[in-house]
Amino acid sequence: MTRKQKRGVLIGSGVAILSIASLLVMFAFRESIVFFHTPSDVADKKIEAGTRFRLGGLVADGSVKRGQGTTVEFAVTDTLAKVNVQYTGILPDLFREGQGVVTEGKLSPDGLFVADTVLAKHDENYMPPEVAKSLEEKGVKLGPGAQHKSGAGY
Amino acid sequence: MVVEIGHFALILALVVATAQMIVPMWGAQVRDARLMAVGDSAAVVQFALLIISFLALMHAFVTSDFSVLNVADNSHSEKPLIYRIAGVWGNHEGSMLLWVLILGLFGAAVALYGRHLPATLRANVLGVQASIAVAFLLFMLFTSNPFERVDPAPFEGRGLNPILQDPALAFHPPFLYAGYVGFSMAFSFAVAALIEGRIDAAWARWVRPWTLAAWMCLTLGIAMGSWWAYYELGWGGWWFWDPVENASFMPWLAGTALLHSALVMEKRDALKVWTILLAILTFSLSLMGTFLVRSGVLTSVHAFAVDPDRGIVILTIMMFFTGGGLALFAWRAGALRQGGLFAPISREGSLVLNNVLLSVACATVLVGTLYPLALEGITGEKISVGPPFFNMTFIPLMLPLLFAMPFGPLLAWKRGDARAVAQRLAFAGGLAVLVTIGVAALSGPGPWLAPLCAALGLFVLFGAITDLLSRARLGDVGRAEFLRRIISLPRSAYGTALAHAGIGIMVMGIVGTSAYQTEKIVALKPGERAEVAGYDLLFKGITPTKGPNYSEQIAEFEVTRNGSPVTTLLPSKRLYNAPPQPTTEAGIYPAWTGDLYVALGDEQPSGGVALRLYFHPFVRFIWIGAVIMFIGGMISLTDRRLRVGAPQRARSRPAAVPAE
Amino acid sequence: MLLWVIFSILTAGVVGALLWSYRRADEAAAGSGHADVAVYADQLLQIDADRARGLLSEAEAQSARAEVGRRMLTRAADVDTGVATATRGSERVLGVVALSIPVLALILYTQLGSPGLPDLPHAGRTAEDAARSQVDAMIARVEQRLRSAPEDGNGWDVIGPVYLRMERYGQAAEAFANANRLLGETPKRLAGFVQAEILANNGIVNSNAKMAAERLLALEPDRLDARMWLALAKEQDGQFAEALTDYRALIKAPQMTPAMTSAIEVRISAVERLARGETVEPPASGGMSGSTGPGGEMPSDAAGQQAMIEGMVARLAGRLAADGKDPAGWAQLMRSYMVLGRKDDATKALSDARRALGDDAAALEQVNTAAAELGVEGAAKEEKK
Repeated sequence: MTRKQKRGVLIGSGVAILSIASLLVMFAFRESIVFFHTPSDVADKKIEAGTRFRLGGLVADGSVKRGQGTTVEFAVTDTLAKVNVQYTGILPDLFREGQGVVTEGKLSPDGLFVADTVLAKHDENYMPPEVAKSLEEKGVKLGPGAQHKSGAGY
Repeated sequence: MVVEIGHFALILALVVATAQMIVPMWGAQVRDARLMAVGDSAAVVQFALLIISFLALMHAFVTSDFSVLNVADNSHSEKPLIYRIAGVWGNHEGSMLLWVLILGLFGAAVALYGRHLPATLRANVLGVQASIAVAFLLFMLFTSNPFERVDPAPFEGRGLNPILQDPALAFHPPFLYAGYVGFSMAFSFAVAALIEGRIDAAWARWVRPWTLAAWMCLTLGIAMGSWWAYYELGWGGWWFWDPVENASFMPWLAGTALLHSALVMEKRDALKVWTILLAILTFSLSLMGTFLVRSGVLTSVHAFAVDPDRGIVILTIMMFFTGGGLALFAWRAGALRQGGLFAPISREGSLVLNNVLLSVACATVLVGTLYPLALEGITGEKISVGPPFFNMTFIPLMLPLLFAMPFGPLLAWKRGDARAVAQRLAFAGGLAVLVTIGVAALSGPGPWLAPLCAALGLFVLFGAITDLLSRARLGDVGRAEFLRRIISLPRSAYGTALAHAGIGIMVMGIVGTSAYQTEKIVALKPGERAEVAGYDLLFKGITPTKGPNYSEQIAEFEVTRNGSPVTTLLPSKRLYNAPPQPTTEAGIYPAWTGDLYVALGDEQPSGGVALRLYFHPFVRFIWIGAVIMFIGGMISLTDRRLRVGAPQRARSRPAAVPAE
Repeated sequence: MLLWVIFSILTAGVVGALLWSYRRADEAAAGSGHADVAVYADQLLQIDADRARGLLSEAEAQSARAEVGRRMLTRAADVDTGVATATRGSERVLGVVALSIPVLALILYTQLGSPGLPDLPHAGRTAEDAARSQVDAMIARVEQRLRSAPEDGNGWDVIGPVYLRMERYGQAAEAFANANRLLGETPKRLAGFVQAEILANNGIVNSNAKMAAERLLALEPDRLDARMWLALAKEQDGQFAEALTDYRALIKAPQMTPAMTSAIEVRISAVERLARGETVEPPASGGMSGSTGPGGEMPSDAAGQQAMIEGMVARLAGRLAADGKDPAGWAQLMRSYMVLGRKDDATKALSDARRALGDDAAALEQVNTAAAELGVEGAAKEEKK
């Protein structure tokens, strides 16, 4: 083979692999992307039952009901709308009423969100910068680190 | 006073790094040996200052000096000593200091052990390395100073996030950072070579050990992180395709490709342009990893409190080095001389295939990680790209790579004989298929892809052994001769074989645990039993106890198998004092065939407790594989040939070169 | 003093090391001419070894040797990279560097460092520890007394500031409120209450805090902190124009400290942004489409979500204050207040809605039904009429 042919084989196989990968990526995007909605979105956008999506918000106060075995029901709210969620399994350590939560699953025809994944956020005492700032403006001295929030992210 | 000495040393390190950035590069430009020599001592001095600074911060953590803001924010006087030490890098400021310290370590290593490098190359490498240090030291001192003080000092610290108080995680960041930062050496060498406008096989020889060291550390670092997630997050998962995990995985993929392309460049003087580009991109991906983790642009199970402003500074640093490196590349790459020729079926050809597959795989991970960000930026729509996406794109690219892997080392350079190699691998392949059929028949139904992947894993493992055996010419020579040969094989051959075997073992672990795991969620009251994967668990009850800085509810399970006692598992839930946060400690019974894994859930209103029971077949193989890869890298690193280039030794002691 | 001596020694050591390597380079300069040749020589050795092992045929070995040989020749043909030991001006360069190291380090350190602060290891703070345990004991005593005599205003008055300092904001707010009730309101107690109440609510100025701040301002009309709190309350209620006016007036106050000035400037620019966001938003059609906010962002932590939600509610309230002909909007606002536990605000929203919708019976009916469903106080009252 000549130098040109050899390079042709190389470039050709590279392009072939790249195009296969692009096709895979496009296909996978169509198949596996999960949208993120808040409870108001659910009401607003008329999401069809059976579509898989992520629902995020706060766990509404007083809404957690433990049923038989390991099934739990609770409501996720963004204060404007509420969606009832049913989940079978073990809730994460930081799952608590009034705390942020992200659940993934599908809506059933009667409007109940059947989740198969529940994620709670790991951080407890984090104060968002805007709150910290608004406090500081009042001459309030915050506890150490409230405004210099640092964290260990791995 | 110790704190202030640390602070001053850090500032002095910045000033010295600035000098190190300017003086040797200037010296290389005007060819002044004395100015270039300043770079060497500057690198060593900078490292020494960073050590002082790091030790000072560590002293503050160990003595719980809460007049240091960083300590007050992230430590607590009740915390056990090891976590007070690990707490130094368990937070943003401290981890940046560790980052810069490792950067300084690599710089000092070049200054001390790089005497065989041409003086101008060394001066330029040190200069580029120092420019990275300057950027990060400025970033630290002005946006995240670990030595910031509080007056009056609070009496108690806020504590370290309890899920980070863990032995695996204590040593995960140093390895991860050694990996990330290690790739800065490849970057510095690439940029220095571009500045000089000359690059050759010798360059590849010099850059390989640094890349290899970085790669090893990154491998181990990622494995530790995965191990931690496995037992600490209580879900029993070892990899989530989480953005932060991907952030460390992308440099690994690119670095693995770099390791192999540098090999081609060293042996055959080919793939120069590509190798340089890969060196720049690998480090850019490392910087991006730091950016993604620190900026909070991605929501992730691993991202804790983060600060967008700092993210923007890191983004700027990343843009500067990536952009600068690529611009220099675009300007200079055309001037690089073309290298040797090779046929598609050859060692080079297989390494090119490896590079194409790895970099395309890296690109798919990149797309999957960044696409949600881009989409949200453009349309405001929020999406998440989860494991299904990565499984669908990444795995199909890895299968041909695994299949080709045993062929590579057996093919000859320049022009290989595929049929001869296939004959030599026939035994390994056949054995792999047989074992897989046997195991699949025993283990019952699973996804159809699983036996195929398991067979590939075995093929890779047996292929690595075949490589060693055929290098020692098993079958061609007598037994004594074979033994002599196999002992005297170069260490890099052992390194390669071990690293490849590690991959094979890891693949088997991944297949075993992904395809054949059993999961059960049950609610048990004391005295009740559950069964999983042939193990019988008797729940004996829950006892409350107290640890050094937490209170704990320990559940006791008596595990039996076919009536004979196996072990007692003690999964627990902890509530830490500072910050008050619960964690789940899984109870794990490890065995060769798999782990029995029990995690506690919530207490039930009926008086029982919810439980997650898992059996993860062969899950240990994943981390064992990673450790074997690390050891392989280590053995390769001690190979004399990687260090050669030291002219005195090579010239004065030719006799020491073994006649392999 | 000792600290500065150590700093000088460190700096001198650094400069010395750099100068030393500069001087010594003369001797070392000779060696490293063609370092890469060694690499190629080693490659030749390897080819021989591979040949001996039978990995290469003789022909292959020959061509490989030829290739390495070519590389060596190319390398040698490169322009000789001779290195001068020193160029003119290099000493001047080094002199500048040696001088600027201490100067730069000193400038930076005086900007960033705190040379006056000693180390404070936890173990060495026993005196403080004792003081602290005294405080703890005192708190315990006062708490004990207050449990048995909850109407003891002096007890509450003493413990309020202590709670505040200890960041126990909820308890502090309660203590200040009790002290105000039992001993009468003084500026100090009112200010303490407002501060604690706001901190306990993550920075939100709720109606209690707002009313207390108003009373505080009535007692002491030129208190800056009270004016600041009230302006912030207006901002959070969505009255951006009023908040801006207040901030701008506040910034001109004579007693302003630089720190407060810059804080207010931050606020002003934030409110200006918020106000702009408000005008840009399309008029809501009664649905919830305007409710997620411009970015539609969901902060990743609970407190952030809380703040985001409060912001959304504030924007909705602001919109309704400007244009009240939106029964669905009012219903939504009441629901939000109820979910957030701000019952008083829900009641207030109901009466505001009635005022705004006064002549539209159908809309009024819609609001009343919603209020009744939500259990807003005052809903039943109206129905009876």
